[in-house]
Amino acid sequence: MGLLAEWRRRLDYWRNQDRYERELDEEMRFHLESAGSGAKSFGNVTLLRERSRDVWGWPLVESIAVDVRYTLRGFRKSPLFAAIAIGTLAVAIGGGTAIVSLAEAILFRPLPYRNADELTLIFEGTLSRDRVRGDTSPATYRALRNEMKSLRGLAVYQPNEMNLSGDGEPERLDAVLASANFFDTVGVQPFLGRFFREGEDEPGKDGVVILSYELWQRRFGGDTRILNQTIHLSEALYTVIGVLPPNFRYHLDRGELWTPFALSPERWASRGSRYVYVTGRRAPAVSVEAVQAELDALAARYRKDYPRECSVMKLQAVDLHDRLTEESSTSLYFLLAAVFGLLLIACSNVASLLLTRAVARGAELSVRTALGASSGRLVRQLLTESLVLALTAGVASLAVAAAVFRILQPLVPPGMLAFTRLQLDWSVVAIQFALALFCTLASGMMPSFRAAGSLTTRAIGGRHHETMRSGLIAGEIALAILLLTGAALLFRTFQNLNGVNPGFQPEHLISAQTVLPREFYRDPAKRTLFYTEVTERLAALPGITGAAFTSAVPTIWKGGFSAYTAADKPFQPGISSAMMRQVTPEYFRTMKIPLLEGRLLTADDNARSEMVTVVNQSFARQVWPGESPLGKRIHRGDPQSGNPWITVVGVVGDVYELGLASKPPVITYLPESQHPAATFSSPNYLVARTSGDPAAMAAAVRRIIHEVNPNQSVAKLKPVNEVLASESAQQRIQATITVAFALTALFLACLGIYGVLSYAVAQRRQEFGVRLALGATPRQLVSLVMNSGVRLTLIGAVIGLTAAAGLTRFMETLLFQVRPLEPAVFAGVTVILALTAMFACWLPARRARKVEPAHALRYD
Amino acid sequence: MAEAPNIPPGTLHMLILKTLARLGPMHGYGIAQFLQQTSEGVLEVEEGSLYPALQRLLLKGWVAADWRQTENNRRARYYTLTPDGKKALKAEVSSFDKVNRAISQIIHPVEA
Repeated sequence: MGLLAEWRRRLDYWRNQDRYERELDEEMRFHLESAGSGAKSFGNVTLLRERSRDVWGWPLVESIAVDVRYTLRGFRKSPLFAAIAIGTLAVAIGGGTAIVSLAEAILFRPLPYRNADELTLIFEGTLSRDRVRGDTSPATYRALRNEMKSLRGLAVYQPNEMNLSGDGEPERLDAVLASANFFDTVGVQPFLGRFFREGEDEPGKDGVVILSYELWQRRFGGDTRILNQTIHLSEALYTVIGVLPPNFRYHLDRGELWTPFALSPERWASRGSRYVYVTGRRAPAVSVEAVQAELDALAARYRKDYPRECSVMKLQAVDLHDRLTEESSTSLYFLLAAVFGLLLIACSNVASLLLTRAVARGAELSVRTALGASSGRLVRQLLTESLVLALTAGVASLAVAAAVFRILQPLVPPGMLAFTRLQLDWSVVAIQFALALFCTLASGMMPSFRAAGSLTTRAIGGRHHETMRSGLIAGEIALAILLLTGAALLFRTFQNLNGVNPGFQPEHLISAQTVLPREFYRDPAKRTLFYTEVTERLAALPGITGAAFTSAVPTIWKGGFSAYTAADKPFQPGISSAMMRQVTPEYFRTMKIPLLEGRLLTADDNARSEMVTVVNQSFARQVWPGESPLGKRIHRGDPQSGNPWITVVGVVGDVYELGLASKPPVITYLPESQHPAATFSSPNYLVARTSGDPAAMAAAVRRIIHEVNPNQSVAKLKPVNEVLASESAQQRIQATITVAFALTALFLACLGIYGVLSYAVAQRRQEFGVRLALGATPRQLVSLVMNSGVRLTLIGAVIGLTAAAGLTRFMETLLFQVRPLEPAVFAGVTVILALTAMFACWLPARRARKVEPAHALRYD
Repeated sequence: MAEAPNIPPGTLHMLILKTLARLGPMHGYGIAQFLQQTSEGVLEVEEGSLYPALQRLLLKGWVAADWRQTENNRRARYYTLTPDGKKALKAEVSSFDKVNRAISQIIHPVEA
């Protein structure tokens, strides 16, 4: 009670200090006049006033304020020192905070499901592969569900897309089909309503839908009356039975709508077509390896029991979190290591800067000690200095962290995007200031104790300082070269990826996803007419030179493989499989995919003519090595499938459909008009070649499509270059950030060399003067100074290069077309470091030649 | 206290409070006069200690101050004991008595 009132009065005093002092003065005057001659006992009026003021003050706060003011005055006097110290700390801390919090969110935070560490995914693929991440078949899922002991609650789900129509504009939405037990297995409770009941995942009973929280908010205004209402989804009526909790996603980056996974008995029986994902829970003590052992045994049996579809089947169990993070974990660990290295450099640099200042201010500190300042008081002042430095840097680093967050966004795995928020929240700010404090202690303690200690013992500038600083600098150079090597390797990777010719010309191309509503599929001729009309009208536009439809723009859909049989070659299960793309005739000319042999598809290849295909070069080489594929016949499916024969009429160049870092797949291009059945491979994407900026044609593309069919949804309308850029986005970020870190590190290390040598030159003026007087040439003096810098650089470089040679192999999975020990990279890094270090040595060394013997001898 | 050798350390607050309790509202000069006269010149308060002490009492809320006219029609700052001040005085006096008795018992042992 009393304390609070006391603080209030204190505050009142400081707000009205003038009035308080006036009153005190008047009181004094009254006292003096009343006492008359007694004035002598009054003593020093100023002292009295100060003592009265002290009563109201905060002595500790004030003395800290004095230190802070003193520090700031010092910074103003040497702004370059302050800017460099604060800037480097801000970059290191800001980058560090962003990367540490990203790594925490992705690698270490548990997923938002009940007992998430039990959740396991099962993938299917080919026996010869180590790593298998493919979809599995409904029949295999059923068999696993009946037979597996190590996983419980096996559930199945399949990505899907649906058209939501009714009130408002028709919309194409990401959807998932899921078995009735799916949500129970995942361990999530409905936000509203209920989830699927047993039996609702059967054909005819599956007219129910669960909305994502976000869709419910956006499209239905969060109205609870939506429950039990029916909505139009892809030409059918569905009853809304529930709403999911906010930000719910599972494994896939989709799930605005969830409908039951209901199959006809024939499709349940199919093992050949694989399009579903399977998940389940491991019992608490069961490891992924134990699950894998069971899967291996089961797969061996299926290979024997179903030789037609499963002869090369492999099943693989992967922990859900491992699956979600497997593409980004290596690069996150790498970034963590890089930013930690940078932080070390920044700290040692600030330490070295502060040390220089402490030494340079030795005289001042000596005077203060002599005048009675305790060494504790001096340590406190030096610590205040580094604290102010670190806190200012902490605030500045908030801005750096926000910027780095924006850059890092694409490193969030797609399946975690929904629930991984990258923003500056309080925990991030707390991390930031913890780091700032760490820097203060790391960089502030050492010089302050040294400085305070050295004052009482001896004059400033002993050998110890130099040894310590040299050690710091050599360490910085070693770390810098390590970072540089990593950065150079990642930069090469990014360059190599960008240098990959994708097999077509992505510049001046625009694409859009245009999934046709189901009624178009009832009459294939109407569908073909739509494609023809849109492409012809587009091609007639000024600014567009050609347009076509295709199953998918390259790299967008890395699936669509199916088995094929060649008439004159044996069928090899699991190997005789090709990517099937359905296209309209102008596809190759629009994409500028080169024709190598035979002819391209034409409008005359239609439903009434002979069935034909154009294959890519890899296909031709794989099936008919050394022969011309023209005139050969293939058909879809295995030899027993009885599908109609298709004649190969042309060969085109390879396209990197699986991404720029993967080998191009074998592809057959089929004229869409000869394949009327609606499948995943139906032409869902429009591509158009423009003569100018493709983005500028977006509105025209949308307009033409709507002219032909006003109800046609148009999505993902963007230049194809952007599609490809997202393929190398992760490499771009890694390269950008590490190059930025490495350059900062290099700059700091050079600054360190520069500082040490400048200091040495200043210290040895006298010695140089003597040397000059005794006949040394200025050139000799320069090389004398340079030598010590070169020695430091050499020591650091040898340590750094050795460490790099040992450590870069851990980056192997991040690299593309560059080896971890690439001699060119190591040589290049060494040259860059050598040149910059030499420059940093030369600048101060130059000053040595300007020493005037007479002046130097008189100096001091 | 070095600046007030005549007054035992820590007792100045108590003496001021007691003075105000006896005189009612009084200005600094009056307090100093009263202490000197009542103690028959033994306790001489240095102004350099008195006014900071008064400020501290203001800060603690044990006294309140306001400007009034003196009998000679001059403006002066009068200090008044507050209820908190009364409580504090009681506490200080009782602890002073305790310490005082203890010291006396040591210095003047009661002969058995």
